[in-house]
Amino acid sequence: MRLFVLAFMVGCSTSTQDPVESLGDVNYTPPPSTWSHHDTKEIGRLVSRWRPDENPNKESISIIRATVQGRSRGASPDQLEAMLVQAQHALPSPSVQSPTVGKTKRSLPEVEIASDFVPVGLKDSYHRVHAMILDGEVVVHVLYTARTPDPSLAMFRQVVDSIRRGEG
Amino acid sequence: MRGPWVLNAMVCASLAVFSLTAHGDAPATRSADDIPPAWRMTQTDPGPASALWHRADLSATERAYIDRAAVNSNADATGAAYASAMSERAAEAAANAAAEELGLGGLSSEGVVP
Repeated sequence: MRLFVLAFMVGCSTSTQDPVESLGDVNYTPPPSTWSHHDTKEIGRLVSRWRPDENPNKESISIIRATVQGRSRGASPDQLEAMLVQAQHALPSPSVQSPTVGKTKRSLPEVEIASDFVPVGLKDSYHRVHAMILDGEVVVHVLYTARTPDPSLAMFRQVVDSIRRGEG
Repeated sequence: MRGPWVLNAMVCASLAVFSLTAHGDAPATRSADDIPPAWRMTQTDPGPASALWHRADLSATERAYIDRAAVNSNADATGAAYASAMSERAAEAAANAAAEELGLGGLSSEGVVP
């Protein structure tokens, strides 16, 4: 009996919960403590921008919480996907890949699209992976941008798969 | 002595009349749309290298044709470039509008670490 209680206590003490970061009513598991972030409230949206403290690969993750507006209000997921593809052409000299449609680990509908582009004023090409997660009128964008991207996209995946709506 | 001289004069007069009438055809009138005659391109005028010299040798009508063709050619090129630019600008505007509606203003610089 003592052994059982001890095992139970050890089990409880080792079950650590993932850290949670909030952006309005959106919660997510943030990148590790070696990354730092800066949150801003902009017109019609909230943005959290993350970067590694040591950043030779020039990586960043931007999380944007917005509500669909204009013609996109009430648009179907297919229409929103088409708009996301169209929006990629706002990038300078973009090379845009075909989008993929799926669901996050929390079963939220998601569209992902990758592109390469040369930012204005720079010479190097940057890679971007963009996830658009839909939850009713709320749309959450997760943008991973890097000059030298992490092939595993580990931080990006972690954030995307942890996105959920909660208390604002 | 007089006979041969008169005969000679008559022959010369005939030749003169013949030469006048033989080359007296009025040149065919050409409209501004006619292609300049190829015969003006001679061995001493092999082509574009002496184009200015050749142009100076053209008639006013032919020059007008050449000049108008050049203007039309430029206009076509300018029109195509203009249409292309407008198409690009329209696509860019549509892309920016789509980005704005999805809450993605400033998409091109978002997250770029210089």
